[in-house]
Amino acid sequence: MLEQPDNTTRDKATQGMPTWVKGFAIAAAVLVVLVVVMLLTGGHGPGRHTQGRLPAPAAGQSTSTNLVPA
Amino acid sequence: MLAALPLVSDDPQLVRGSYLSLRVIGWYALVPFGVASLATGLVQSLGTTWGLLRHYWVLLKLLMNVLATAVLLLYMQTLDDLAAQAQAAPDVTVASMGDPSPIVHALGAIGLLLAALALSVYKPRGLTRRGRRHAAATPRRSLASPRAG
Repeated sequence: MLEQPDNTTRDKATQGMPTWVKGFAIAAAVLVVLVVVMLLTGGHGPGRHTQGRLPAPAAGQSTSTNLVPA
Repeated sequence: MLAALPLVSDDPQLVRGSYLSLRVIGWYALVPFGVASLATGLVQSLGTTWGLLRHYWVLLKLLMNVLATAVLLLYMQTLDDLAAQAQAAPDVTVASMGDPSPIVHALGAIGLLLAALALSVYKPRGLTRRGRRHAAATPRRSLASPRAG
């Protein structure tokens, strides 16, 4: 059974954005900036993991298997 | 552990098996469960008095869930590529295919899950603007009112 919102504390919960939400927002903003910087500098993304490790497959030759959806 | 194995092992069979397993687990466990958690979260919030957009902790969990699911779906492309290369490459190349990316993303997912767990357990206070409007429009239940019967 899910808990119900506590109406007895509703007065305290109705005043603007709480401090803990601001903390979450700041942490999220820092993470977003970090990821954007990494994307712009080429340090992140799918291509980084797979470039230059193997020679490219010949035309018409696929390296994928039938284990998973395409 | 599976995500860290290619980093610590030089055995080409282990490395190859790790990447192939990660791809299968990703498509057949992580993606379905991720979408299911999003669906059950929507049903639980919309079907109860908590609402979807009334409390900051519910809203934050929704955003975290959407973000995690989107990153997972994008990251599956990388897992597909890693598995395909591990399958096709000779043993010498596979043995040096240690890539920190899977374990980094796995640790990020664990951090997100712990944050979501903390929000669910503690349910920190805070009503959104929509929640405040709803609270103002909803008559309070009197704790002192006697029950019928």
